[in-house]
Amino acid sequence: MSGSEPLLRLDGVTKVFYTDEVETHALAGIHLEVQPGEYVAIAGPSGCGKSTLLSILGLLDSPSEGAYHLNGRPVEKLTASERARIRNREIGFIFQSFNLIGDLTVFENVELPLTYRGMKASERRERVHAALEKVGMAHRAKHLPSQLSGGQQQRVAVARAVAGQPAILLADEPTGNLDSTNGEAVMELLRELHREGATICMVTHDPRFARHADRSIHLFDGRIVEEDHSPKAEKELEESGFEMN
Amino acid sequence: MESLRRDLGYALRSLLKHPGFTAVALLSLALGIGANATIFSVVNALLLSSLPVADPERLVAVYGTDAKNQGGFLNYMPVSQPNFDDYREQNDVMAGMFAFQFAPLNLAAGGEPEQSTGLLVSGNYFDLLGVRAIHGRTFLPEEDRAPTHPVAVLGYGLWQRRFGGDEAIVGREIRLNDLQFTVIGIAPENFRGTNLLATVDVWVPLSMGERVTTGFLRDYFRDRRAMTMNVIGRLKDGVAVEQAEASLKTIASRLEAAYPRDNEKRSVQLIPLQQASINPALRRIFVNSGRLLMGVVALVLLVACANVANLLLARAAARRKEIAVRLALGATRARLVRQLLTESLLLALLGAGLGLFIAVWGRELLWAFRPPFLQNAELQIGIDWRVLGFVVLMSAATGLLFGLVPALRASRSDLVAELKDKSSQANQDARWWSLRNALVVAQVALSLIGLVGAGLFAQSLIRTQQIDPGFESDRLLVMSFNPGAGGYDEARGREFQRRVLAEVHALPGVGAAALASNAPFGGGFQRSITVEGREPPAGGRGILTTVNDVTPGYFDAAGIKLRRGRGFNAFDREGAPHVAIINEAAARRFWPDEDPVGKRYQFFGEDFHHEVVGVAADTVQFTLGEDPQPQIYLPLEQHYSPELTLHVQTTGAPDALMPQVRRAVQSLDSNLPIFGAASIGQLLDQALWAPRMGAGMLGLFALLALALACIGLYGVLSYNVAQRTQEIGVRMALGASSRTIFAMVLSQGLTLVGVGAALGILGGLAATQLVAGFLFGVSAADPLTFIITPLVLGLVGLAAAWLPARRATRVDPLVALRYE
Ligand SMILES: Nc1ncnc2c1ncn2[C@@H]1O[C@H](COP(=O)(O)OP(=O)(O)OP(=O)(O)O)[C@@H](O)[C@H]1O
Ligand SMILES: [Mg+2]
Repeated sequence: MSGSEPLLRLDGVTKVFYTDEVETHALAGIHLEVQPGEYVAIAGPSGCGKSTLLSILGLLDSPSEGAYHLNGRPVEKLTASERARIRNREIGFIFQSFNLIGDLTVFENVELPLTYRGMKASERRERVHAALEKVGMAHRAKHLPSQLSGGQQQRVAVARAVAGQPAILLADEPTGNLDSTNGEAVMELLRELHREGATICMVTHDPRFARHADRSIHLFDGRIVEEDHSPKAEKELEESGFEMN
Repeated sequence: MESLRRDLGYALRSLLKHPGFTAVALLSLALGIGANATIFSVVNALLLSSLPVADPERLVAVYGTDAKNQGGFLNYMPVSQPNFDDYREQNDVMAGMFAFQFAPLNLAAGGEPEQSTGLLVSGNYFDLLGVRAIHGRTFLPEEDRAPTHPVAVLGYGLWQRRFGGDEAIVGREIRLNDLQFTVIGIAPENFRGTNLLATVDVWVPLSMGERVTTGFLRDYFRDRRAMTMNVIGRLKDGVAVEQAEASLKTIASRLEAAYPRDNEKRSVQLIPLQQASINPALRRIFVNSGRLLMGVVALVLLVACANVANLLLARAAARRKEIAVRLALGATRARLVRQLLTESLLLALLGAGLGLFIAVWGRELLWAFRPPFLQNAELQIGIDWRVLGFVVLMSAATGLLFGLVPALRASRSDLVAELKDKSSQANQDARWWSLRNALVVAQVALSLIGLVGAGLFAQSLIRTQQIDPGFESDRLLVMSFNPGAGGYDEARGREFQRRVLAEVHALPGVGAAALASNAPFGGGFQRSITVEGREPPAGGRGILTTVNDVTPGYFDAAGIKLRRGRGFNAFDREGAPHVAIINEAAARRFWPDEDPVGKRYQFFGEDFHHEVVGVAADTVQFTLGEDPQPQIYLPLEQHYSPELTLHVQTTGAPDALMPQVRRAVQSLDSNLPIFGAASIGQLLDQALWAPRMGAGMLGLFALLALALACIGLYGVLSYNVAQRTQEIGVRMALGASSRTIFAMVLSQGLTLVGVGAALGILGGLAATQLVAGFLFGVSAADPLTFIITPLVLGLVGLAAAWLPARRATRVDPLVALRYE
């Protein structure tokens, strides 16, 4: 661990939603640093603010208060198009409901973030193929999402997230819509990406999956109530196929 | 019955529950159906309604034909009086026949002198038509044969207008063309004669003809050659039109053999009166225009239907879940389709109701813009059972058209997919989406066809406006009067002519003044001529040529240029050699490769020659854009005309001088009616009526279609953006900028417009061939029109796509994280 400049840094971030004169404090003073190459799991009960935190990290939303530095740069002052550019190049999203686009093929779905960059077609093709190979979906490139199982769809979504080689992967309950076998496969995929050096922030309910991470953050009512670092040894044992339970 | 009531109730509730949808749908339908009902009610009144006479289907119009002069109105000529008498006496196919002839009658009674529309009719006219007087009586047969004392039947309109509907007028005397007539009866209100476009003010017996007519009409009243009588017959029971025609044609050949000089190549043709209440030549123009307009409004209705169908599809998509639940609960498909169709039919009927409102004032508006020669016509444009039937049928067809496909679609919903599985929805959406796209494409294509048509008519109008009529087009005023009908004999008439010119010349602001027998755009009496030294073509009598008798100052006053030779002067008077000036068209026609000046010709029936002394520029005789017609000018001094049109060239604005000129004429005879008083500007405006009307109507309906298509495009894109909120959010989360999203929606809209425009251009190229006959100076495939209108359409499409595209950029990317 370099310990130098964190990839993400949140300082006293709060998020308040106002609806019909009701104030919801979704996040209340979050301090968080994520180093490059780290794998962070975010856990906590429903409604505690996990998705809200992730959306702020992913520049889909802005904090009500507090500062957010991405790669050492403050993001508060960015224009909408600069934010779009960062989402496109630095961040890869994996959603609970896959969110593949129905009338695009698997290939086109994975290609989508690259086309927003104005990348050359030949380079796009290479990257898409590499990403699909990585998730084991290359043989389904011409299929429509509706022709795939849920697990396969989520693997395509992972390919879409990594095809652009983002600085960080954000996943909001990536296994929430999957049965345990498919969920396991997707988690394995994330772990592999992490081993190859990817930085990952993942929201999950499942403590088994949280253990895969270097570090787990527990949220309650918009606050970080607990942080634990899973011991390296334990992690390595697990990786070598040793059952802990 | 019970279930129908429930369906209706449900349909009504669901329409009320979606006021936005209902309003847009109803407005679209009301405009579409209203446009159709408007045009149809006018078509109905002009072309479909029958005269208020007994058994109108047994009446036939008998038209004179002449194999030597054919085309247009020449195919539907009157019959000469002696020939009519022979047809009437010799035929055994008619229960009766009568003749009639229009004659302007100066009416002096009950106020200002007025030129009324008189109809000279055979004594059996009213009896054969089965029309009875509402007060008094109609003519007796002997009143036609031996005119002991003149009698007249008044038209209802004139009776109300001039005599306040006073029954006591029956039995009293009125003066018509300076003769005393006893009023014997009043015609019913709905009977205005057998010509739909001409309201008769007063009927008088034909036997009075020679006493109330003037000029050529009087000279040739009983001439076997002069085709002056309109003839109508009532078929005997069991006799068909063709049979009667064959029989009259046999008589015609007999008459041709007996009077070869007069009847050479002449015959008759019979047309059922139902199709001849407007002269068939003119009727054909109405039929063609009616077809064109019906076509255009049908286009508007189709675009409106596509709109409503699209709205219904959108709504059915939103209701898929509800329908799936109904099906799951055991409703049959037929039951569901019926319920959905009830809703669209209800919508169509409500739209038709509103459409009828539009039609009620639409037809008034349309009739207010009728052509100048119909200004005095009183056409009853009613909303009768035929119009109502048309509207009801049309709206039912419309309701099925826009309702059936959405209903079938909706009822075919895939139960399993709807109730459980979500993944197949993407596919489903794509399919719905493409039908909706197809509808927008069709709308765009249809409205482009309309726009192209409007563009062509607009260009045709511009070209027509640029035509040089050949005479002064600004500082000229004209007014007509008929001293002959006012009782002037030739000597007094000539004196009157001199004094009118002297009075008018003396007015300040008058540049030049002249008299002519013909009015601008009024055509004129035609005579056939034979060129000296040339045999008349195979026994024929030469070529019919319009004759205009003018005073020497005419060419100056009317601003007609002399191309060769000289104009008329004071020496061209009675006793001097007969001279003539011809126009260039006549020169080309009669002396194609020679100098016509000095050449001589003869009018048929005369034994002396006229010498051509000059050639004048061509002028428009009837309509702007017509091919130049041969015309001959004669000195008024050598050829007396009882009816005159005063031409005054002014130094200032002609309208300002109109009152003084009118007063000057009236100061000579206050009993003489003045008619047709107008500045040349007004006349040119009237002459531009047809092209202006064509461009206006097509423009109006095309814009309507375009507006509806825009609503359609806007609706589809908005709906699409709403449906794709999630997808757009995902795209944004993946880094699409707002500009990318904006361009995506916009390009989708423009693709639809582009495909529609391409189809519209193809359709337009085919459709405009049908209107080629209406166009002047512009090709039906005019490249400019076919380039500019799609561009205009593209711009409008861009505007319609703009808002939905902007809305798409405001989608919150957070929706990507949300999961329902
Ligand atoms: N757009 C919004 N407007 C108002 N309140 C919101 C909005 N988004 C989230 N909230 C509220 O903020 C709080 C945190 O929501 P968030 O979605 O972050 O919870 P979560 O931890 O992801 O829950 P879950 O595990 O159920 O997904 C909740 O109380 C939620 O109701
Ligand atoms: Mg959440």
